Order: sequence, then structure tokens, then C-alpha cells
Amino acid sequence: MSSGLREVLGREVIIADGAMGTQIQAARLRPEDFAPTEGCPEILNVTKPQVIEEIHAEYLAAGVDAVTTNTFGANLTALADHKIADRLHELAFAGARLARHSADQAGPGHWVFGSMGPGTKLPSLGTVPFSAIRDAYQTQATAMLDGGADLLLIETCQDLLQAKAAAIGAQRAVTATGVAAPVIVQVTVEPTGTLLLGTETRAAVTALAALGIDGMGLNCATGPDAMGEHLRQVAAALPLVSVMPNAGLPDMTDDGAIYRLAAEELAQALAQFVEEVGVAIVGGCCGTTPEHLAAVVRRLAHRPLPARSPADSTAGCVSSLYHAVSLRQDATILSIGERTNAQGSKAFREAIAADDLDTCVAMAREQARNGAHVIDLSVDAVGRDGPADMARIAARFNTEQTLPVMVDSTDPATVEAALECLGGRAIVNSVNLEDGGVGLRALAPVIREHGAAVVALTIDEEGQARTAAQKVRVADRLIETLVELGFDERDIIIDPLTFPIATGAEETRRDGAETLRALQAIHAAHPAVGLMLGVSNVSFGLAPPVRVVLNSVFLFEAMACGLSAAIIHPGRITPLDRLDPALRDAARALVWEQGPSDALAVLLGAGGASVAASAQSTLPVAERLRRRIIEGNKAGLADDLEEALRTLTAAVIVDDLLLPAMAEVGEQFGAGQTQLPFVLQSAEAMKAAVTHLEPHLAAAGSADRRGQPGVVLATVRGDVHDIGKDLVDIVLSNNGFTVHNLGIKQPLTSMLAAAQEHDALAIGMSGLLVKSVEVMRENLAEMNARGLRIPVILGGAALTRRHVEESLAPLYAGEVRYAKDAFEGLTILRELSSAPGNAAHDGGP
Amino acid sequence: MMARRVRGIPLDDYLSHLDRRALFAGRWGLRGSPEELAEQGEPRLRELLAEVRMQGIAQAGVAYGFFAAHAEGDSVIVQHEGGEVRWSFPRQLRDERLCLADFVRAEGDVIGLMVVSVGPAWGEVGAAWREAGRFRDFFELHGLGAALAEALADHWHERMRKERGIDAGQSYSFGFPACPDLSARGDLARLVGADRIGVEITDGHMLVPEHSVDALVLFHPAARLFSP
Repeated sequence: MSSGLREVLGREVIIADGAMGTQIQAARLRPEDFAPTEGCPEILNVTKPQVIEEIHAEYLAAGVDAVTTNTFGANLTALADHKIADRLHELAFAGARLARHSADQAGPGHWVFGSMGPGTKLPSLGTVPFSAIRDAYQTQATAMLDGGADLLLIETCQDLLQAKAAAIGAQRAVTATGVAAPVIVQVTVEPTGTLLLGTETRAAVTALAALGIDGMGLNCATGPDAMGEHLRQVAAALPLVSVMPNAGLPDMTDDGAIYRLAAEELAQALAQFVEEVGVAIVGGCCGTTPEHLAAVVRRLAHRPLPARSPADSTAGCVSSLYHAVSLRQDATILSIGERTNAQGSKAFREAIAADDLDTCVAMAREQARNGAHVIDLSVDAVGRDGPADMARIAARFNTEQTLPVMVDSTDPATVEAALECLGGRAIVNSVNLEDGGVGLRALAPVIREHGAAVVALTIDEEGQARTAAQKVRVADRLIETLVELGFDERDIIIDPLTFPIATGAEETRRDGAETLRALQAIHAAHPAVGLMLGVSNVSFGLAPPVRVVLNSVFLFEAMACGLSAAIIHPGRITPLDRLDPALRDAARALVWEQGPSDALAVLLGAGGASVAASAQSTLPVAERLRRRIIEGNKAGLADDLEEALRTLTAAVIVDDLLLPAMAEVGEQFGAGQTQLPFVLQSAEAMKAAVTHLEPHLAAAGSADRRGQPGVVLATVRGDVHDIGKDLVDIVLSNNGFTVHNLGIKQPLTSMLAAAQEHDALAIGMSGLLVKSVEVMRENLAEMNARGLRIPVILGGAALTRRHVEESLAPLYAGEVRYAKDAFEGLTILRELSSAPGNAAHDGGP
Repeated sequence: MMARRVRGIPLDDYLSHLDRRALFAGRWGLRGSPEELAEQGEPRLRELLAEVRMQGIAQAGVAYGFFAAHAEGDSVIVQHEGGEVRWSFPRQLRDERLCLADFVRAEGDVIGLMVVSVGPAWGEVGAAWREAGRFRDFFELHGLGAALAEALADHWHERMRKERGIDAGQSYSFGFPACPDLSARGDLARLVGADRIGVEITDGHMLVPEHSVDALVLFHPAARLFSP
């Protein structure tokens, strides 16, 4: 039956079969054969078993070692689409029996791989719950093991959360049935280089290897030529690697997808993977046929494999759905953002209470922006349904931000709810020994099943450990217990607790030093274990600016003692050399409980006046609007505009408040006082303001915005560069001009046509290439020959002012001007629009 | 000699080669001391990278190969399956009177050629952001794409050195002073099969998508950048 597979797996190459779907199509079945469904392939396991057996027999005759069951869609969502979800066990079992029978007919040494496909709904997209598909996968796997499957092949995974559900379901089936079948997970890497949802290969490897599967690989989406790099990443971390490519990328013809990779080419590619990467299981996916596999068999049948031990384990690595992060950061600590914590942050708590998940996500992204490597997520709040809150928010954090998540809860239901929404490899914060380990042993299986890393606090039956000796003792016990439960040391993080040391209470004075000494001792005894602190606790009670000092000093002292991670406010740690030396020294003295005894007094006495509340709201609205433009600040813009509209018309707001502010920005830029990113931010505020005012401008019928002077912009023929031109577009558009941006590679004729159609004030030609200067020369000569006089403004890296003025301008009777940047162009246009003869343009801005 | 294409190179593989100073000051135009540049630039970089990951904007591909070559005077002749191409390079008129061809042996040498790209999505997403009024994001995304293309080229140059087992030499992109003739790009792209990673050369010898870099990789220990 099945036990022989483990003896050969990894010792010699196992060749699996090719595509089932195309073979089914070739069998020319009729719609009735699929009754009561419309085309469900798995139904054939009971309606047309002989067809399926024949396909297995063909592959076996070609010489393959293993056949894959016709159960790719025997899962919850795919069968539910066909309205036969209740027949999952029946079809999975039947599929396994058919394959088993075929394999047995071929003689000993032939195996059955139970195929588990991804289904039609991805849990990361919120369209199906994790637990539902996990349980259905367990049913499917159990049925296939009962039916004689030797190995469970979870394939074509595009969503790590679905892959995890399948892996857990498969492993639960293995445990329950007692059949020790290996579990392999194959992901599908798109031609873009990531999984469909954006997962990088290393993130997939990190998350999946942690689940305790036997091997990992790639299948589908591309031919073998795109897989090499990714297989190397898998091989670096997993003992068993599998690959089942498509027969190349398909040509989409009227007859459907045609796969062009020849049998010999596939065989050659797979042989290379075996030789260069150490792949142990090969096969084929879409477009591969018995002929393909016969060629593979000729090349690789029973090829012995050298023993492999992957060098680059993913222990000590975590991941989001997108990318992997090491728990040990070179030269710095792992920075864990503290703000998305309902107990620690009023803003987060209120966002949860208001069901404002967008704000919750924004707070996570803000921390990423400020340099956090991981996000701590805690929703525990009195009177609310913790697991439900956690599930909602974790689901959003899974896809809408890119940092790995530290699930901050000690309640098993809440932790599980989070882990069932996170496809990456998470960290669970925390376990401890306060009840002797009962809680820890209740939570550990959930953490292990999901492959998460774990934080353990030095709390035991005597309470929170306060002295270094106590912390070390509890830490030793925690590490021993967790390792016994199967955790790798590199996936364990000890938190020896941070107590406030600046409250003035006598008994807390030594807590800083005790924690630091504990770090040193634990690090020396267990160098592979991570060490973490919730740094902000240390300064509880001090004024905010002083808290930053104490937090920063404490953090840096702790790092010197072996700290590898810290929960912090990422934007609020200051390098030591930037701190006020007196405060810094006082903080250090307080932390180590050495030095002057008035250190605490120094810190308590500092704190200063709180930052004077910005008098922003008491400024007149005109000034506020001006500042918004200059600072590029859109928050609250709408309210200010509405207030202004009470006394001013929209046209006056634009012409007398906003445009002059933009002009100021331009002057600042010209004087080197501001830079392009901030200019663009101002332009954004300008555009937002004008957009908000649009209805009022139209309604009033005043100063028809379409009567703004127009200008044509284009990159000349033969040139594809447009960033410069687009920046000019943005600046001009938000300074009162209507821009007709024609795009790149524009012939002169289209520029002239547009200029005429829009009665443009000027034509702006842009180009990067040296050759484009030639094109501009030709354009000007042509315009001259046609007797045109519309002004031309030239810009681009290949031009110089001198060249334009001396060599190009003389070619054209109309005006030719050089603009070194968007603002010079703006100045020129303003001149042109207020020149006599342009009275039709309303005087311009 | 062989030419290969590699697609879907992970962002994390080449991100470490990103020249932050060139990005923050050169492309984004920020000013200030190195600390000030980092303070302004790093948060924006992190924010944009998160969007890049979530939207799958970075789609890195490389077309490269090693080719038999030899030098004749100021020219380098490169052998390929269909025959050979001859590229001529300018020689300095003073200083050491260097020419690129000096770094290739008169017979039996091997040079590297590569075209790398971070994909077409940068321009597409950028245009959408611009339409939506996200001007700063649009501008900085463009700069980031260009900087990452350079980082990818640096990363791949390192890879090619490892593959050859020679940790020396210099890579040169056409259009720069030592090899100003852009028309050679068409040959280079053809030799490595750049079209198979979606990179084309326009009539004006420009690489499309825009965020692509080409390079001639020499392994001579004395090879360095210079201006004729």
C-alpha cells in the first residue's frame, strides 16, 4: 500500500504524471457523462471510472512512478460551484481508489499522489472562511488516504492562507488516520515572479516550511525556464523539492491554449533541475502528455539523488503575505510597531469601536512608513468580542499592509482567530508560566499548527519576575518547555519584562538594571533565542518629550546587552548623540541605578512646556488656505474651503488666494528653498481645492475655467521620455493653465492641429535625446516655412539655453524660448498671456 | 556561448543594491545633509515599497549572456550564433589615451552582455496615480523605478562575475562617454534576446519599458569608467 514511498523519497527521483485535464478532453465525453453537474471533472470518478483509469494506465505505460488522483477540484469551493459539495468524500475516495488500482496493476514501486487543488475562492480575499476549507481539506485527505494514496500533493497554491488551510487539513488527516503519508505543497509563481496575490518566493517558503510539511515545490503558470530561481529558494530551505511545470507558456488560439514545449525540452529542463537544484519529484502540469513524461522517464527514471541538507533554514524568519523578515536584523533591532494596540492607543481603540477599519489599516501603514519591521496587533478591550474584532482586523492587515504581524493576545480563541486570517508566518505574543504552564500548553498547539514563532514572558507561579536571577530562571524554564513542545530556539523570543522606573516608587528603582542584567545572562546561556522588550513601559509617567529620552537610552543600553527586538513607537526613538546630554546621562543613571541619585529628579523636572498648541485654527481662513497650499496639506481642506465660500466666490478663492500661494511655491523653488516633491505636494493640494470648488465655479458661470489660457505639450517624434513633460503639465495645470498633453513621439502635425483646435497660447516641445534637438530644429524650420507665429517653448536634458537662443531661435520668425524647468515655463507663459494681442485670454493668471 | 533569460527576480534580491543617495538627492531632488536626506527619504521609500509589493509593480527580468570576443584596434568583435558584430569605441585624445577595446584581449576573450528591466508597470501605475492627482507619488514612483533598474543591473553584474568566477572588471551602458553610440543597443538586445523579457528598442535606440538598463560587461582587471 503506502509505506514503501518514504524509503525511496529523496533517495531517487520520483517521476509523477502529466496533465489530467487535456487527457479528459481528448476522451471526447458527452455532457451527460458529467451529470448531475455541468463539466465537473471529479464526477467522472463515479460516472466514468474506466476513462480515468485508462488515463492513469497511459501515464504508467509511459513509465511514470506516480499517478495523481483526479481530485484537483474535490474540495469545498469547487464542488460547491457544481452544487455537489456533499459528495466531497465520495469523489475523493473514488479518485484515490481508481489511482490505487491502476498503480497496483503496474506493479510494486508505483505510487498514488492525492491531488488537492486550491478551489475557486481564496480566503485572503475574504470570500471563504479558513476553517471551512481546512475541515473540507481534512475530509478530502482522509478519503484519499483511506482510498490508498501514498502522498498528499497540495498544488497550484496562489494564496498562502489557502495553502496553510490545506496543509493543516492534510496533516490532521495524517494524524487521525495513522497513515504516515508525506505532505507536499506546490505554489504557482506567476511570470511576474510572485504568487498571484503578490507573495515573494522567500515569503512563501518561510510561511510554508514552518508548517512542518515534508516538501515544497512549484507547479503551473509557466514552463520550466521561469522556475529555476524560485526552485533554488525552495531548495535552500526544504529537504524535498518538487516541480511540475507547464509545457511552456501557451499560445492563445481560436482552438484554445496551445502549449509548445517539446517532450525532449521538458525532459532536459527537469534533468537540469535534478542535477543543479536537487529536485526529488518531477512531473508535468498543463499541456504535458504521456509523450512528454515518456521523455522524462528516459532521462531520469530511478536516478539516484545525493543526500541533501538545506543550508538556509527559515527558522528565525517570519513573513507577511508579501515578504519575509528575519527576527535577527543585522546591526539593529527588530522594530515592532506598538500603535495598533487597543490598550495602548486611544486612537486605535476608538477606530475599532467605530468599526473604522480603514483607520486601523492606515495606522499600520504609518508605522511601516516610520520603519517598523513587524506590527504588533492587539484588540483586547473590555466588553467587546475579541476574536471577532481580531478576525476582521487581521484579515485587513493580511492583504492591506506588508509587514508580518505579531498577534498580541494570550486568549487561545483570539490567537486562533488571527492566525486563521494571516497567510504569512506570524509571531504570537505571548505565553508564560503564571499557572504553571496550563495556559501555555493550551495555546502551544495552535501556535505550532500555524507554524508561528512565539514570545514568552518571564512570569511564573510567583508572578512577574523582578530580579535578574528570577528572570533567568523563568526564561530557562520557558525555553526548555517550548523546545520540548517542538519549537526551534530561533523561533522563541523571551521578554524579561519592562517596568516603569520613573514613577518615584522605591521598589521600582532597580527594575531597569535587573532587566538589563537578565538580558545579558539569558543571551549568554541561549544565544539563539531572541530577546524582546516593550520599551515604552520604562518611561510611564514622564512627560512625553522626556519619555523619548528614557525610551531611547533604555533601548540602546538593552541592545548592548543582547536585545534583538523591541516593541516601540518607530518614529519616536532618537539616536543618543542627538539627545540633550544632561537628560541622557540622567536617564542612563536611572536605568543602571548608578550615578547621581537625583537622576530621577532631573528627568521629572524636565518635560518642559508642552508644544504650544498650533494656533492654526485661529488664523483667518484666507491665511489657512494659503498655508495649506504652501505646505501641501490636504487634511481638512474641504472644511476650510466651505468656510471661505461663505464670504467669497469660488473664482476669487482660486484667483486671489490659491493661485498666488502656488506662485509663492514656485518662487521658493526657484530660490532653492523647497524641492520638487514638496512642490508636487502643493500641486496636489491645489488640485484637490480646485476639484472641490469645481461645482461652484461652473454654477456661477464665472471665469469659465475652460477659458483659461491653453498650452500644448508634447514629447517630440522619436522620443519616449515624458517625466519632465508630465511635471510641466502638473505645474502648469495647477497654476491656472489648461494643458493639452499629447504624449510622446508626437509629430509636428499633431502639435499644430492641437494648437489650432484649442487656440493655444504656446506649444511646448520636450525631448531627452540628442537626436530630439535635431527634430526640434526641423519642426521650427517647418513651422517657419508655413508662416506660423505661435510661440514655442523648448525643454529637455539635451538642450542648453545658449543652443536654443543662438542656434534654434533664429530658425523661426515667432518666439522661441528655453525653459530649464516647469517654473521657468510658467513664467514664460504668464508673460505670453499678458502680452498685448492676447487680450482674448482674459488677462490670464 | 549562451544567452539566458531570467524572469521574476525577487525584489529583495536586488533591493540592497539601491543607491539611496542617488534616489533621494539625484532623482527626487531632496536636499540636505545625509541624515536629513535619510530622514525625509526613508519613510517615503518604505511607503512606496509597500505599494510596490502590494500591487506587484516590480517585475524584474534579465536577458544576459557570455560571448566570445576579441579586440581589433578601437573595435570589439563579438561572436554569436548568427555571426559576429563589430562595435567601435572612441579613444581618449589625451591622459592615458584609453579606449574600451583596450580592455578586451586581441583573441580568445569573453565578454558579458545584459539587458535588465524592472517591468512596464511603473509607468502604467504612475500614469494612473497622476490622473488621480497623486502627483508626488507619481513623481517619486518614477524615480524609484529608475533607481531600482540600476540596482537590478548592479545585482546582475555581481551575479555574472560569480558565474564567471572573476571578481574584477567594469560594466558599461551604451550612451555613456566611453561607448556613446546608442545604435549598438539594437545588436546587444538581439544577442541576449531582450524581447523575451519584454524589452524592445525604439527607432531612437531607447529601451522600452523605460526602466530598463543595458550593459556591456568586461572582466579585465584594469577596466574602469573613463571619458574620451
